[in-house]
Amino acid sequence: MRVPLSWLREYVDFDLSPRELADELTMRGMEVSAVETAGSDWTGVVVARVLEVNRHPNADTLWLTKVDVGGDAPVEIVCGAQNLEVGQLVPAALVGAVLPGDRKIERSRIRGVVSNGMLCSAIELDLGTDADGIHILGHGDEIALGTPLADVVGDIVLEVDVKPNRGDALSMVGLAREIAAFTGGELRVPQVKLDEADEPSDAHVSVQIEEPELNPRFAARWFTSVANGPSPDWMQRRLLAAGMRPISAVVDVTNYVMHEIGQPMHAYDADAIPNGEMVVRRARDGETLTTIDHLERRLDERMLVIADRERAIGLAGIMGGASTEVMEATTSVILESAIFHGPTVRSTARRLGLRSEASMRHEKGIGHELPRLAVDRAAQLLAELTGARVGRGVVDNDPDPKEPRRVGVSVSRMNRLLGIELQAERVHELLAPLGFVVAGDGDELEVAVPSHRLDVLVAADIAEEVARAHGYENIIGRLPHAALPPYRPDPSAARHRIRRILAGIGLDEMVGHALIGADDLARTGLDTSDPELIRIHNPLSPEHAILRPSLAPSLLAGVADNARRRRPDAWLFDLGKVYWYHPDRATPRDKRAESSGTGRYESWELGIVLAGSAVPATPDAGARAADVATLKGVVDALHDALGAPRPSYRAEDPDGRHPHRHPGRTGLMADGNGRPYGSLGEVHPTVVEAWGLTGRPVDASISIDLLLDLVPERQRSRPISPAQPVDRDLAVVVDEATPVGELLRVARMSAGPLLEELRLFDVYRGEQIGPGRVSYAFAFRFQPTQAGEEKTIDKALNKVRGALRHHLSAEIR
Amino acid sequence: MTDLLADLDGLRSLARERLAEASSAREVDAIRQELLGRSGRLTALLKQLGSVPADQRPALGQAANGARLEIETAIADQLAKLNAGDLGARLAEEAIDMSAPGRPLRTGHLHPVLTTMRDLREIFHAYGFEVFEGPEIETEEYNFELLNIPPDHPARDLWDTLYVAEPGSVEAGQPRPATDGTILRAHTSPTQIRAMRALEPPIRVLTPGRCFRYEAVDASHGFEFFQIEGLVVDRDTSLADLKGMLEEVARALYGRDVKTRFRPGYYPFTEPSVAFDIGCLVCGGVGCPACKRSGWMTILGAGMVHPTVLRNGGFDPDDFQGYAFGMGPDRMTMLRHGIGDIRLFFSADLRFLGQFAEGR
Repeated sequence: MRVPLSWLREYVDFDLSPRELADELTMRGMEVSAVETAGSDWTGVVVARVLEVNRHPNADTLWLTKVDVGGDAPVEIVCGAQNLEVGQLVPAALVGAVLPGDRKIERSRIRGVVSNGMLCSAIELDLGTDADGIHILGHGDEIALGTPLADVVGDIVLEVDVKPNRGDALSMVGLAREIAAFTGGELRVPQVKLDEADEPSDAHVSVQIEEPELNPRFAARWFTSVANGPSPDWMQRRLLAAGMRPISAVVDVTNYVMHEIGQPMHAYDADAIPNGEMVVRRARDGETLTTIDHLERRLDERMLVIADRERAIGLAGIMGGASTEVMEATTSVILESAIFHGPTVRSTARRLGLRSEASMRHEKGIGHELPRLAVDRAAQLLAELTGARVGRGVVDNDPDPKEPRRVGVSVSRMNRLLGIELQAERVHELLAPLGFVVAGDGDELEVAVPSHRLDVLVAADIAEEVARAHGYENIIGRLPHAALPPYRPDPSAARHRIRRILAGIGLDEMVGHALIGADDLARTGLDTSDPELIRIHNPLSPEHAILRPSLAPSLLAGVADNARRRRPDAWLFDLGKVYWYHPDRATPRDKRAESSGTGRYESWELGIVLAGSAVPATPDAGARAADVATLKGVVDALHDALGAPRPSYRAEDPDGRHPHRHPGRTGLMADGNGRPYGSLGEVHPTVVEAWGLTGRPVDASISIDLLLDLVPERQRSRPISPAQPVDRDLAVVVDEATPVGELLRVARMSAGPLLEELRLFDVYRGEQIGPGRVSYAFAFRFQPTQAGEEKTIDKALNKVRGALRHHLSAEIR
Repeated sequence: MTDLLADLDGLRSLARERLAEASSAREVDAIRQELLGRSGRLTALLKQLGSVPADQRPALGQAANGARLEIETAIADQLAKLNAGDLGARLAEEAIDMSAPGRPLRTGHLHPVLTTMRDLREIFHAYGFEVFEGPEIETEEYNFELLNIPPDHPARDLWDTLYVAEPGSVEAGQPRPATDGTILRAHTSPTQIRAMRALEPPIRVLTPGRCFRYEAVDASHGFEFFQIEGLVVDRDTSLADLKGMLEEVARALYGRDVKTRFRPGYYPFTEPSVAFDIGCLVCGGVGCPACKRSGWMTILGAGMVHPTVLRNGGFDPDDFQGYAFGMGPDRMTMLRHGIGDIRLFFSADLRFLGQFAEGR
């Protein structure tokens, strides 16, 4: 909300600089996001009168205007706005003027015609958000032509961010009440004095409310002999400074009262409503209404309208209809001052894209007493400004004041919540200026809540009021001295460890979006119609419409991203969640995963992709691109660093292969029991191409939960043997089809407890052993526990030989 | 006898001369063989000892041994001298260009936001907070209703939500929100309810995690971001405790001298609510574009857990109370490293990711 200080001062006195006032308001929960001096941010802008508006000779959408800036001769200015009329007072930025954003105005030639400046819209002057038309300052003689604009609308304006629960503070009086409370000043609510005519309002207005819960209060007044025209300069200036465009005296009065005391109002041309009969009802499905912005709106029954006997004439709390709009010639007026159901106004405004100052106030709620005060205040102003005769009485569906809400508060309980020590008397002192009436003086108090404070319902709300009035700055922070809960392990600790290990191994961490697109899946060879995919109902874009089932797409995208920036070597990892849908029975995988119980699951996963070489070529060594073996080295190192046994690797079954990998180069990581918990391999050449990559990147994915299961809870140390280690080599010949991983696994299993290390050190294919055969040479290192265990080692090696022969038909060489 | 003595002297000086000329270990060895070897000159001289009168033999024997010792010492000296010379030559030959670059090892880098989250976790660990995590795919009930944000509450505008689609509806071309109210959590606050329902008091938890919002992307907003929520529930933790805690955390993060401001805020799930500011890190509090000329930067929202939320978590608000706070590690990381664009966090650009070292 824009708050001009000159206007605010009408309701409260304060001896604070604008900056001090802003800080105080912020400290009381009325956050001031900016202190602006309207009129300080431009130079060379003056008030001008429009003398002529002619079509630009060379452009259909432009106008050639002549304006009087109080000088000797009119100034010709080219303008594109559609709201210019002869006689208007407008802001003109003359040659040499500087507008906000350091925009300098120069003499220019626009489609062949010289323009000697610019006529300005509100947004160009930072006076508001209206970019559509020229900012009309008035129509009469109220401002001398050539007056610097700063003298007309210049004022200090606070931009106040009123919280959603404080609709009552969305007005000058509302803020003044807060200021009076903390400065000890006096709040001056406008005093209404009315001279009512004899003619009763209710002879000309009737209001029928179909659903009172959607419209708890409707106060209306009827006016006649209205002489509508421009509102006076002082009112226009205030509205301009507050960011509203002056329209006409009648409309300006409603906007003025809304800003003054917070009640949104609407003025109808009474003659356009047959018999003044108004009905507040739900719109009918398919019903249309042309609003005063001259757009036809399609309505449905979730929306609330004001109607005459036949058709809708206004959208309740949002915008009036064109058919009953108050015009210059209007002489009879009905003023509506009502409370509408906030959620209904909110959803209607959202659905129609029509949020306004009025709808915003209805959404936040309006106190029960406000409509009556507002309609009387507006009546007073209308009588003063337009000579209107005010119909006698108010048509009001619920005129009786409501009993205030009472909230019981325990002073000791409140002190315990806030961590301060206040006595009942002090609580009373703090709350009274805000309009609360406190009864009682012991520990239990009863607080009567003023009708405008819809947000105060329970004791905690009262506590907040007390804290605000006491000053958050006066609460003494207590150093942490807590009763601590029992120790629980940190589920994120292991993930942080894994991240550090991988960075230590030389991988860079990236964080990919959890939301990816179908294109990403398709490019990665994944099924885009998989029913397990979780899709978003209202995605921001198709690129972020699906919760990722795999980390591979974003990792490949990451590699592609870097490749485009001429960094083809990228070793990346991402430790994040993958997501899937599985509505029926929970699989073992589902049971391990996290879920809010909706059949949708999420689970931590580690994704790795290696593209290119870890390090660039040096004079003595070429760059070696990562391959599957490199990736296994990384995975093994991660296991070693975590203390998990290294996985065994085996090819994936043809029917369960990861589709984004080279079918002959994709494998599973399995634990000691042969259970898989991850997979790795080379990316499929078509996937490589689809991502615009070159080379042969490799990738891995590992379930974090299953990996961590493999890490022993405790690491036991082994005694250091005094004996020397014993090294033995063994060469075997097998069929090419025999996986070397199987040889290693069988050898490891049969070598006994003294085996410390087993390493493949040579592979040979050739004539000596015949076609289709391959020879592998293994180095065994045994660690005897004491000297003289050579016999045990020989036996172990014999067992290895036997096992390899027996299980894998290996020929020992 | 004098002849023999003279011969020994001669042998000594011969040894000195020859050794001085020797330029390699091999030559020295040849000299040793010639003078001291089994058929060498000293042996030959000693053989003559038999023909010397018995009373002179001890003196002569002593002299011969003296000569042998002296020659052996001279040989050893010469060898050492020669070795030293060889090594020197070798070392001189082996000199390399010490200005040449090293052979590179790959060093990886951790993501800066996750590092901030790890650091926050460590700071809060020191104050007894435990990490408690919740799901990212949540329900409207947990994300809103249980947090005292009923449907159509105006404050729902603060959280523009991404809705999970009803299975099959997108493929059928009629995207509908899931009928069971499944959404992507818009904040980490639903975890407050989960923690209260899972744990016994006293509760002191920190809930880091990813959140999602229907929000157009620009330099300071994203539709995915991280949050860290804190929750304390016990019988007497007060607003004053919250203030003390936040001031302490600000000092831990931004230094002992950081200026702080504890002021009213608004959240439906806290009452009283708090906004917490630190003095602008860019201008130091004078006012600059980064702090919108206010001199302050809001780093955190907080408050005392609303009685309704306590009740929804299973606690009687007459007995139990506590505070909750939420921070944005993305924004804190931007402040920490002077990063101008939040979108960089979700890019894999190594020119960006490679900038963040472990630090002190």
